[in-house]
Amino acid sequence: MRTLISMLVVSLAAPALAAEPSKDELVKLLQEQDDRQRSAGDYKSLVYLEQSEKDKADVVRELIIYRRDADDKLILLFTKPKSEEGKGYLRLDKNLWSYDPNVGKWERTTERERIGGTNSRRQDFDESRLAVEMDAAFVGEEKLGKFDTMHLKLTVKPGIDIAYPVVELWLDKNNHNALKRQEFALSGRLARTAYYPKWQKIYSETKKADVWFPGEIRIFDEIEKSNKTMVLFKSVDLSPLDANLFTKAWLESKSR
Amino acid sequence: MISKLVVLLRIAFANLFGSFLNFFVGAVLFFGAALLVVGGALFGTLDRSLSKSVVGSITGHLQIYSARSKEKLEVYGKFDGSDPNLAPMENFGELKEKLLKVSNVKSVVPEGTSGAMVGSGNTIDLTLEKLRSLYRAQKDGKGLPAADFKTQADSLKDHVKNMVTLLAKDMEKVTELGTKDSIEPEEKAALATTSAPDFWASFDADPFGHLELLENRIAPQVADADLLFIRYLGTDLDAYQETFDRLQVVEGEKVPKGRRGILLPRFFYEESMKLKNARRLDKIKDARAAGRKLSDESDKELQRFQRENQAQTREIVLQLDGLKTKTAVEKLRTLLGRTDGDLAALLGEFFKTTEQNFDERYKFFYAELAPMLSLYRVKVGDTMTLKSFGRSGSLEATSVKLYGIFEFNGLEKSPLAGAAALIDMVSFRELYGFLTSDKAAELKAMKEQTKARQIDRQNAEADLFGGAGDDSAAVVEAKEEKIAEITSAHGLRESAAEKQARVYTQAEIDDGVVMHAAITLKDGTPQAIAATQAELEKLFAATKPRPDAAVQGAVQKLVDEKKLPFALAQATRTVLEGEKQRTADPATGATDAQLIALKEALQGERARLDGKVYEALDKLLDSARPQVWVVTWNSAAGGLGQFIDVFRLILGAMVFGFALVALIVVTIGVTIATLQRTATIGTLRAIGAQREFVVSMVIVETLVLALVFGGLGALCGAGVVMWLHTSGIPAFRDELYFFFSGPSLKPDLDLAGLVFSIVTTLGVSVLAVLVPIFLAIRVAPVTAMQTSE
Repeated sequence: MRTLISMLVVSLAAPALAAEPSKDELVKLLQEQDDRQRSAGDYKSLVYLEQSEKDKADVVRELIIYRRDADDKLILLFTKPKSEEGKGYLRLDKNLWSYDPNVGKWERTTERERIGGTNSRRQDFDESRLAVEMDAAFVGEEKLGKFDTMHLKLTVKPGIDIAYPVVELWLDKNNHNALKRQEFALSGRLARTAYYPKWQKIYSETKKADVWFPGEIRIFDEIEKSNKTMVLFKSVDLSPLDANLFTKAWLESKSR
Repeated sequence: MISKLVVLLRIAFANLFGSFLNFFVGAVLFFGAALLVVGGALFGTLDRSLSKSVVGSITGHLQIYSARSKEKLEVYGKFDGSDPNLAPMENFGELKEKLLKVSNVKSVVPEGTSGAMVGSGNTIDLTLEKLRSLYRAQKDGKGLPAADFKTQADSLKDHVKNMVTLLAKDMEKVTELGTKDSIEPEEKAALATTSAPDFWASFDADPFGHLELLENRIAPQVADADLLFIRYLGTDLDAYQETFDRLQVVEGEKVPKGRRGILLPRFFYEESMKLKNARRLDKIKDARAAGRKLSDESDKELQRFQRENQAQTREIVLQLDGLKTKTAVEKLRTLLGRTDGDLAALLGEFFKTTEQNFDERYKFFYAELAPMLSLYRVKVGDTMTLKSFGRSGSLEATSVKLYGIFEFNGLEKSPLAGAAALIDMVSFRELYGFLTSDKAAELKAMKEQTKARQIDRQNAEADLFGGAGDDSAAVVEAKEEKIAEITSAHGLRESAAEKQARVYTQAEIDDGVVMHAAITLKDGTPQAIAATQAELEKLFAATKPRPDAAVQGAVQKLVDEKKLPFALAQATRTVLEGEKQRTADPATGATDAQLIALKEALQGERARLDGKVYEALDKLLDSARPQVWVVTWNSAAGGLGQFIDVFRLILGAMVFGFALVALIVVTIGVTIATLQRTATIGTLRAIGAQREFVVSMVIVETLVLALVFGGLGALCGAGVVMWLHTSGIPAFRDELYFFFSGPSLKPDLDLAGLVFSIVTTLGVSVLAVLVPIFLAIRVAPVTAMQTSE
């Protein structure tokens, strides 16, 4: 039934965008991306992270994402391998903190922090805030594999700090799934290309709607061309989290 | 015979000052001999000094490293500042045991160089971190007695309060300047909250909640400290300190046996970790001691130090809590004769130093202000957090206690000797992130469990979105799954405190991977170094695989068919020859130097070579190389070691240049002198002198000339060397400390050098006399008499 409703929403929205979308329609498209991925309640996901780099051993990690979108809070807690267990990140307001139990210290990092030493960024695990952070422009309609897509160019709004100030996004024309995302540095240099081939959703009682998440993200480094990163969302749990979870003390307690 | 020699000598001495030409030739020989003595002593001493610096501080006489390494060992790093790509040597303990059995080997020290970032954060971050640790320890029941805890906590809170007040004042100024739009409302609200007395009154009721507010909203309002990069040498600290006895801990203590810890070089500590204002004052003091003047406006560097000291007082202001600020203000007002002004303004005025007030202010700074400040980012006894991207790909971090500050005797000011910190081997391995077999197995199991499909960049779009019937991009209804919480236990991981407290056994330090190792010898003369290198190569030759006839045949074919570039073909032929010899006698074979030459030639030509050709040569190398390379200290020193070759080259060029000039001048001089004496020679011949006598006369005259002027020149050169030895050539730049192995170079007078210069002078003279002899013996008495008429 829920799938049917989603399909209906998608099919009703799609014809409206047959021509070049207006500015409002572009904002709505971004809001749609954000709304789909937003979890009104708490969110927890088990993620597998793998990075291959030429002449180097693969980086393999498993981590749990804890999100409370209502308060803009996030924790990434590494659970595997043993040497990484207990390491983590905590986002509070505009601060992204990293914690390493090896040294027992917190360090404030930036949006450009390479999560777990891979080419993934905080935004790959966090709620989507495209409409809040970026302005969109329509580039054109393009074919991506067998899919018809809308190609958008997003530019960061003034005063907002994000990992990449310019993003190009390819949305499936039929269901508006984000399929491809290219991220550029301020200089205009392409830094990363990411693909989202397997969107999934779970019904949330709190949200009274589906929470969407990208089953997998394939990231290709455009600067170090031999580097590629895979992010697999193995499972999602929407149960309420401990009220005091998003604190430094909680993350510290995981490694003592 | 003797009477004949006496006659010849009398003639020679009688003619010695007989003509201007002899003076000219003599002068050339004089200066040449003097130059050889001085130059020889100078370059010889430089050679020995540099080798003393390198051998005595890091390399030892010989170095070993894995023959599987992709690049050549360069202990000081490559020219671009990166480290060479070396393969680790496993089971260092076994290797060490094997090496110590060689009679001339005195010690073997494991080593590995790398770089790390020192944990950053601004002054507020650091103070809040201290406060958090204090409350955390108290909460865990591992804290201080209640009274001590309260004193410390109150002092730290007072400091933070002071910083909040400063930031609030800054915000007022910004508002006054009309740029209030640049202030975030959240920042303003946070400052208002944390400035309120209620916030501090309720602090102890919820310390961690209050800390979060301060850490997230207040600390980011201050600029972060510079990111500090540190190079370090991981080693067995006990063995290192015993072997390299020029190392001297000048502050703190040596790292206790078996403990984890770090020692920082004084040069780095002063340059990078000291409070910038204090460091600039030190530099101004040194500059003035060297004769530079603060009043000299053309001295850009001193003027810059002055400007920066006046403008950059923020760090000092932030470091002082309320009480200390009050004390500092009072002291500064008294010194400057002021009755008003806040700390920032007073400091700005205080740092306006002149020739007249500098000494007084320098003394005041260290006597009155410095005791209230943290002069260094990390103090001896503190724990430092180092972060590095390890070999296994992840960011590795470790905490090590700073036990002391060190210098190498005589190399105190050398940036090169003072560039790398010393860290224990266990921490080095942790930071280097070696992928141990256990770790590799764990990662493999994780990958196998996930069974993720590998996608290549080239085919990504086709694979992910192009397949027929591909359901990608459709939305899949997922099933919610409960994700288990991880327990708080952390497997085999030790806590940072446990690691600090642990004493590692020698076996634990030795039994692991190392990057390279320094071998010091009982006899470190160049001949003994060469002999021991050959002996070690022989020892490791046993680890080589058996020679492979098929591989040799394939490579021989390439050589015969002339498919290899010239230099590569030469290197290949040498190694092939060695391998053929080794087939007949396993104790022989190509030397390490020959194999390394082939490896380098192969790497250099890799881009141009056909894949199969490269593969064949790589196989040859693989079958011919031992487990480890044994190289001399100057090879291991990389670019720096090449300076020694440059010194030797300059010395050789000097000898050659002198020989050439002397040869030409002496030949021309003696020839002209001989031609001028044609009549005399003819007369001598006419009264019965044989040709042999004439030849002997010319030779003895030239030798006497060379001996007298060359000898005088050598003696004069010796005098210059002795004077230089007594006065010393000062290291006028810090970089020269390393080359001079101390603050000055004191050339040693070498008897061999003295003899060499005289022998060279005589040798050149003998060669130069050949043409005049030829002319002299052709003089017939009749011709001579006719010339005379």
